[in-house]
Amino acid sequence: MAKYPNFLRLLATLTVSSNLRSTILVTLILILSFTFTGFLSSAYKNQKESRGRAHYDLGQAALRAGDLQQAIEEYRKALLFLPDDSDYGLSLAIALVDSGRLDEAESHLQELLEGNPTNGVINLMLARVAAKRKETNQAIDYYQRAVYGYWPQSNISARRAARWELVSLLQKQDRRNELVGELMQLYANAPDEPNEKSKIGFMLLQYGATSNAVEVFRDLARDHPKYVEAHHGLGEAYFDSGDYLAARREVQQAIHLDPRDKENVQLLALANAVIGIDPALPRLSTADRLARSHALLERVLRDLSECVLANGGKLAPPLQQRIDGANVLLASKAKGAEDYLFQLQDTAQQLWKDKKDFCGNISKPDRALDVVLTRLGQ
Amino acid sequence: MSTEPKASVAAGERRTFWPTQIWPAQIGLSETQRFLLLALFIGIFSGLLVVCFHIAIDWISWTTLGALSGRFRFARLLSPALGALAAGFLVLRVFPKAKGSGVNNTKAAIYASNGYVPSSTIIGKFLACSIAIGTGNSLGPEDPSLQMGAGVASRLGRLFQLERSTMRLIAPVGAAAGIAAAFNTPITGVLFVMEEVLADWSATTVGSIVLAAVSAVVTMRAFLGNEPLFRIPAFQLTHASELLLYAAIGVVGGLISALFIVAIEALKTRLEKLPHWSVYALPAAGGFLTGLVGLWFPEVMGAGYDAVNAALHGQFTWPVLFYLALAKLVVTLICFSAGTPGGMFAPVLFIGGMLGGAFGGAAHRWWPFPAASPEAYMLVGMGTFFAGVFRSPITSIFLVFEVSASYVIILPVMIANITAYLLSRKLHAMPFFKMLAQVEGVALPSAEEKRNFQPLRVEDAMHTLSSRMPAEGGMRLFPDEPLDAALRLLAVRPRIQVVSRLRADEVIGTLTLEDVHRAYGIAENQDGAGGASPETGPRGVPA
Repeated sequence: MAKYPNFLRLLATLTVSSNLRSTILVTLILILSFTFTGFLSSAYKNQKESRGRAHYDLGQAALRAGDLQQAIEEYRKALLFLPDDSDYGLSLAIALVDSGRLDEAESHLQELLEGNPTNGVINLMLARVAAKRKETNQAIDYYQRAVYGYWPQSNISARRAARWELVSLLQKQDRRNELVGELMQLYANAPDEPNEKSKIGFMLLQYGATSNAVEVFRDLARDHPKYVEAHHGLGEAYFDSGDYLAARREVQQAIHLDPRDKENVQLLALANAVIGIDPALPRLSTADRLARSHALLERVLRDLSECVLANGGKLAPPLQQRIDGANVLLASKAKGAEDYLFQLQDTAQQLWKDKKDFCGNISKPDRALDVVLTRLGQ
Repeated sequence: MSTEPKASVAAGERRTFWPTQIWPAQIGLSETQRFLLLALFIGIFSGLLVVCFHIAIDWISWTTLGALSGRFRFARLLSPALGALAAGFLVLRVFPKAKGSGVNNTKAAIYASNGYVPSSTIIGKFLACSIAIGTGNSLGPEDPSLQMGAGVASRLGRLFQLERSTMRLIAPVGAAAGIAAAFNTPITGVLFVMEEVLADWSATTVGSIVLAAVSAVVTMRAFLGNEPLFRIPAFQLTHASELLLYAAIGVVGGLISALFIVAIEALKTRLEKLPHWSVYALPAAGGFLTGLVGLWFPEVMGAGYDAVNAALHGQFTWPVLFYLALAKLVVTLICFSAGTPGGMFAPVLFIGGMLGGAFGGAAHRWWPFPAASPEAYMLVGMGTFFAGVFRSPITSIFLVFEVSASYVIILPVMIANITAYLLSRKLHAMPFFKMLAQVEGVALPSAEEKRNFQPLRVEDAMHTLSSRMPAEGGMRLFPDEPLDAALRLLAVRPRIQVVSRLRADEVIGTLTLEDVHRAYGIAENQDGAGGASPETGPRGVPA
């Protein structure tokens, strides 16, 4: 065999060995098949993409025209062509949520969530689905995931909108602590938008987070000194926190900026009234405190007597005993003692409570007195 | 053209002057290794073919039915009829060997044609089925894919001049590749072929089938992406009481699947008796009826996977799911019995899924305990109907497991599928593919029957000794050995001692030719002493 050159041997092999011939033939066919299928599948994918896009665009147009049902149909068709396209899936899910088809929407959203668990929009939509189903805990969970999830830079304001939705849900559920926490988060990330900040501040006030409200309004008043709501809110916040002097100062500032605001005028009047009778006001001497406490008890007794007379003058024996005790206390000689001061205040608070129980809404409310005595009770 | 593969030329017969032994001897590949390597090629080719088939069906569907429906409403009515007419003509006049069930044709290749599947079958199935399914006839692409895979395998086997015994195994290898690529589920492809087509679990067979199925799926995914057959929502078992519901689905699935087989058998038998010209008209008529139903329920047209996916995402209410199941059942029954080319796998999954979903929806509403979403029941329903119709319970379990990728679903699926399988078998003993073969006048073995066949053993025939005796030297048998194997020894010795497997030196009985005859029911008949019938042995085994 050595007399045959190598290429002749190879030629001979190719000619004679049928299996080798077959292998080469199959390999060639395989390469051709791969090439053909590659072109075919590429054209197929392009066709699918263009058909999917066409339906998606039709869906978007239908949505703009307000035809939600048509939009859903088109989005569904778009998804048939490109089931993996998250934009199509999300658009369909949003349309389904809006149309109230919650089961189908949730199914699509859960599938999208599997691929993108931190996506803010998907979590927000799931939160809305849960909220519509009154599954509050689940909804709060999804809202929180939405808020802390990923949002594209172009859609960052949607994160705040999602947090506002969460706040609204927490408000409905009266979940005060979580609500205050979310409001403070909103405030921490709030843009320089006075209206939104004052809204946060007033909601904090509404839910008794006075010190947080003071912080919000104080910053707002500092950054926007001409903004009336900032001073009004700060005034209210100071008032609620018991700093009546500061409250009066801020309300005066608010009135200065907008004299027509009746709410501020009323608040100023109340602040003045409270300052006039509050025995716990700072920088008062002991004698002043004693005198104010004495006057406070007298005022309570007077209010109570007026109410009793209006009700026919009949009193339950225990209440009569407490009134008698109060009169004895007022006439007492031990006027210099510290204990006496507290006795006067305690008795005033007790009788004020009795008056509220006995008279209910019949008597004319003495707001200043109520504020002072409630504050003393705290 | 030869219908039989040529036996390989023995190496010794070749001319030694030329260096011809490069393949396989110089590379050092044995026949088994060559077979495994070929399985890889078969898988790749089958995968490519299934990709083209899938694309062809979609393209025809877009063109004829039009995804931008509405203005194509009229087309929806006529498209399946025209498609079925064209597909029927192709199968009857141009590619007659592509007619019939892919599973049965593959079985015929194994048991009757030494693995030979005509190459024209591949083209015929491809064209006819893509037209029929693409135009909206209610049939699926998996069975044709299976047969196309078998055809590719057979062609390659012939090209490489495999030995006859190996050629017999090559068709199922291609079948597994075809069905695995069509379902995008390699395990299901392998199991179905092992369970339904071949019933052979030898290492070489399993190895080559697995290799082909995996390479087919990988090839398919390379071109069409890793998209699963169904997009399954998260599933969880909500309450233990739900297992009762799943068992109930099994009962419903078993009952309806048996009825479905009976209906197909009855309708096919009836239609076979019609005049010959009707074979051209029947597919068109079936297509027209499908189009008619499709005017109200367009979801039932074609394979129906889009509708199943939509249902899995909660698009339909449970009464709609029920109507869809009924509509699909009717149109599939008509299309399949009319002889329209296409497979039954997809419609079966559709019907089972919709029935399960409807059941789950109703349960969700009225079941007093917490119940999973109807989508979970859809999955289980698919499995039950598959198990009930095709009588392949293991495949049905793994099919659901593979498409759902959920381990939690295994328990409900096992309960439901086995219930459906047993009930369907009880109600209609003959398996689906065997019934089809019988209607078509072919006698093919059923893998289910092969599995259930219990061969007689030595212990069934031996004469048991009252007291144990020490063993003598020479031939011996164990009680669990097949009786057929004992016959070989009895040809040499008239009496063989049967020894215990635990103590091989202890004789527990003896076996003679008379004992064997008696066990097979031969001796009694010769003696005229009664006992077993001439046809059956002592345990109902055909004599």
